[in-house]
Amino acid sequence: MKREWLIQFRVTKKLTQAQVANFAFIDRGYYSQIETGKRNPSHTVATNIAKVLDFDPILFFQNDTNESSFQSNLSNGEIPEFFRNNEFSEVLYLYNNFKLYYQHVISFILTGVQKSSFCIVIDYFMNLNHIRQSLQPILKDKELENFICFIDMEELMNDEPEHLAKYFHELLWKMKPERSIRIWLNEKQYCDNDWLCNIQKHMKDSKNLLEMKKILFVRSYNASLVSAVSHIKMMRKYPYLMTDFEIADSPFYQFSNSSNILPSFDLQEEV
Amino acid sequence: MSKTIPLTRYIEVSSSSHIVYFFENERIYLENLMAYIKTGLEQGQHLIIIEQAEVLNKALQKMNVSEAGKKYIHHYDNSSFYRSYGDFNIESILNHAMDLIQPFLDEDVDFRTWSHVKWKDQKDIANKLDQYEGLADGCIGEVGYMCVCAYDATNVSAEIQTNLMRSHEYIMTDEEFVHSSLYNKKRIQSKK
Repeated sequence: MKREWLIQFRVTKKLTQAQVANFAFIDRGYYSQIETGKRNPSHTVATNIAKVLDFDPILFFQNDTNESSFQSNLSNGEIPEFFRNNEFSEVLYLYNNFKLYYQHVISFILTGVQKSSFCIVIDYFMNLNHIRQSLQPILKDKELENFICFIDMEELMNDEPEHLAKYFHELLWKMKPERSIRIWLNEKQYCDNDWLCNIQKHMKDSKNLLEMKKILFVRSYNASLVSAVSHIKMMRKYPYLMTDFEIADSPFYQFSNSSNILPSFDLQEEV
Repeated sequence: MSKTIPLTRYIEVSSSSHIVYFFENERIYLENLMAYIKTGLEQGQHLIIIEQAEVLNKALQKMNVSEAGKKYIHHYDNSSFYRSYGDFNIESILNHAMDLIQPFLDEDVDFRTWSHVKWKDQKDIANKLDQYEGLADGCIGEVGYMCVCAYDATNVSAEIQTNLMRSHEYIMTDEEFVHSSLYNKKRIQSKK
């Protein structure tokens, strides 16, 4: 199985397979096979590669253990691929598996850092800690500081919408206009008129600023805690639908140019 | 290759189409059931309706179906069919379904089905429904008939819904009818 995380390391460091192989004193073909998962490195080779790409070699074995249980389920890395190729869109992510959830947040951040995007991660305290810990061996402290902003969901929910609107406005304002932004938001419950709608109402002054920015936004929920009714409502609002294993067009997205939404049977009868 | 047939007066779909309907409003549910029956009868198809007798009778009364038309409609109680009093037993439900459709296949008679899926709260129902619908989809493709599986959207989680979007080619709500973008995407073993 493909070691997607290892590819991320290399790409983030802007190195080719040949360069990593050369610095790690191994053949390029061998290194390529390690990335694709066809071969497993010895401890010495793993240590050398880790030195070149600046991560803890233990990660090699930890990830191999974790991935053997669930990475084989990923459909050809189409989700990291989507994050790599899209800088502007909105994705609705309903997850079932926490391990895969974390893997996707990490991939979202790493592919963002690779593009020098600024990543805002809004999640619950425990999850943020886990994400931070996973990133620490991969990114330098400076990269963590300059590229990522972690926001505790509980604190955010307790704040006033006006204050939050001001906070986000200032955050956007400080950034260079050409810099793209990624926002990952994880929530427990879905509400029709939620805190985000309230903030948006108070961000009218930032409308132009927001429109100018390239924003990749992922909104995630635990699939077992959201009803089908809410899911349908959300699918109408978001152009992309993501699960633990795949990403696809949202079939109910109402604002698509190529929308293929037909009325239900009885509504057709009324035509 | 399967032929296309009218699903309604305005849409043609493959003769072996698996449709999942997430309903919220009972009145609209009834209207949709009536529209489905009406097109089936117009096509000269038999209809296998797995639903509460009370609901089907209400629909037939509203539609004013003739006695001759009623001969084309075959009713089965959904609580008994899905064993909604006990364990959602995939094998037994599928066997029961085959028993229902076999006479139509033997006689080479066109038919379409509508089932309101019901279950009693139980452990691992998301996986059971996923397995059941996956197997049912294979059977529909093989045998070649049109099938609507109706689920009460207020009683289904997004987890179950996502699985159903993978096993059904079309999705309907009270308002919309769409092609499922998750259908036939590589099915993955997500089971624990």
